[in-house]
Amino acid sequence: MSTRPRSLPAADRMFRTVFGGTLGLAVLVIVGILGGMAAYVDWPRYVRWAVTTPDGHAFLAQVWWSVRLSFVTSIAATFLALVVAIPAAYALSRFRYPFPLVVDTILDLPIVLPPLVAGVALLTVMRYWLGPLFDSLGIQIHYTARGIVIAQLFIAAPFAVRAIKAAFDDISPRYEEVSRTLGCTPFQAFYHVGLPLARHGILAGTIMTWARAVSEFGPILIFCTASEKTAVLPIRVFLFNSAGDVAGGVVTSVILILMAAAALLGFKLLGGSRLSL
Amino acid sequence: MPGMVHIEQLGVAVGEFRLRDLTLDTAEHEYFVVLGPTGAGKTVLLECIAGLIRPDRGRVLLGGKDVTDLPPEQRRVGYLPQDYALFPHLTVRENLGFGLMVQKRQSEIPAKLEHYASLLGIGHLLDRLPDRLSGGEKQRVALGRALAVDPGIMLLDEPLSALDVATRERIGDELRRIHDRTGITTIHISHNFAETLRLADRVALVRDGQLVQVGTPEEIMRQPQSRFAAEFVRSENILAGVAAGTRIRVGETVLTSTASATGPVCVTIRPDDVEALTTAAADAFRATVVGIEARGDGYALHTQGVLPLTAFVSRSEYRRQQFEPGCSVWLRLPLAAVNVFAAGGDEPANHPNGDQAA
Repeated sequence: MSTRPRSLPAADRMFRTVFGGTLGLAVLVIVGILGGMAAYVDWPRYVRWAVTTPDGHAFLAQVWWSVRLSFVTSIAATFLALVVAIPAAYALSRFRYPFPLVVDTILDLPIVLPPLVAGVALLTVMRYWLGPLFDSLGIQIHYTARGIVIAQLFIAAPFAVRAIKAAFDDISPRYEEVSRTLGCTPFQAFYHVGLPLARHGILAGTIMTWARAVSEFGPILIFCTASEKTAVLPIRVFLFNSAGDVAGGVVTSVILILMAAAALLGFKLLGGSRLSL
Repeated sequence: MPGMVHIEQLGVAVGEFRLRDLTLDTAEHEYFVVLGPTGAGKTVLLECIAGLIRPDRGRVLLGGKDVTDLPPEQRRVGYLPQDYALFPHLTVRENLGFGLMVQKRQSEIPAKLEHYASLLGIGHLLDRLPDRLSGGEKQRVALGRALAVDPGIMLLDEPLSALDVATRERIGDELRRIHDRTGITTIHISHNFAETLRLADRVALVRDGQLVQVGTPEEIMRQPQSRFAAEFVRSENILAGVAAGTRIRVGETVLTSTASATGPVCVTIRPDDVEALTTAAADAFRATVVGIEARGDGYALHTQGVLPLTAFVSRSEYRRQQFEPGCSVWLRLPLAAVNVFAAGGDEPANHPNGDQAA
């Protein structure tokens, strides 16, 4: 008895071809654009230049400074974002509060605002409203690393709230309710039950928040300007490009892409892809 | 009396569910079942007692103490939710000791663990995570977790509904055994009357957030006091009549009851109280079998005669008497089987000679 290979009906084949083809095209566009950019640089030659020449050493020092500044500021911003976001996200997920739509919209505003506007807002408030206060304390905010942290925080904190709220939403409040009947105060229920159960989601949200903070550009440019002192990696890309050093911009961009890819991978390995971001 | 529960004029609305001025009392050490259909407000009632929902009106007293404004952690209630809600990040051992740990009673944990692991037969599961347990095992662990903190009362929210039939009966018997061993007053929520019959000392039947009837399972089953109660406990033979003392006229027939009433009434007779015979008997109604319905442990005979009645016969009786559609039967109604209550707004609309009981 002969067996015929099973084939899909024509309508199914057509459907799969159109939708699958679109998916393939989307992946191809992203890989094409990023790959095309990376291919601009003759990497072996560039690496040799960076390692062996004085100009190359200066280039490496600039990039290394930017990597360090980016890490320090983005980690500080992420930490501060979590301090705000964990309780705020828990409250959003568990409590009933007035005007939920308004509160939700306000929290999302920094995410959807044009980065330029976020920077102008920060600059105005820090220079004209809070500036005198910080000046009297001898603390300078704008045009400094502190300013970078605040600019990153302004965007990253709402992002963290959204990501961590999704983690708490995933957990039935029944666990905390049961813990209350077992003797937990609301704080204990949060600490012993809510927080540990949301830990994977919080960690995934933390990674994405950090990725967001490290790639922040617009608000930093306005609030802290593009200078050597404030050259986090995206600002460094801007400075290279402004000076006509396309290869330097590409190399720095590739470093940023690798960092983003590592963050995304970590996020997905932690199961964060289930969270709505 | 630490185990007494007194609910007074409780009113609350939570989404679509509400309680309407519900008043209820349980005795100490009682196994009390709150029975009602889905949406009756049973879980809301339980959560009000646990302190998870704040009532809009009324009071909750536990052991004579007004706890209406107290948070759950100060009420000393053991709560077993429908889905058990075992903490998934903790082992069975940690789940059992959780309450004692947060109450800073760590020194009691080893003894309590040993006691409840033995009482509930979960000693071999102590190092497992909850996702490695069966439904019955999860339930026993959740029960142990609630009992370990020495609650004054236990609140069980549909604890058997997620289990298969065989496990349900076994775990139901276990719940009752554990209650009898611990003596803790228990309020158990259920929508299943058969389960209630097995477990309850007393039953409160609720509907739309209101109390319909309170009594022993036998009372609720044999003497429902409303059409809703009669239908819920599957009295099936629900007839409209007019009472004058112990005599009730139903259509052209007069029935006799042990209870006395006057005016429009409802009469209920459980099918298993209707005796069906294939030979004539002096004190029996003659009727014709119009339908036979197989049920778990026997058959329902739907009959038409002077009264439309359904009788229940066991499988052996069914085989012995060889009932079949169209055959004549004689139906005997014992005096105690005729239950009467005043007709209210939900009395049967059908005339008894209609198709009421079919």
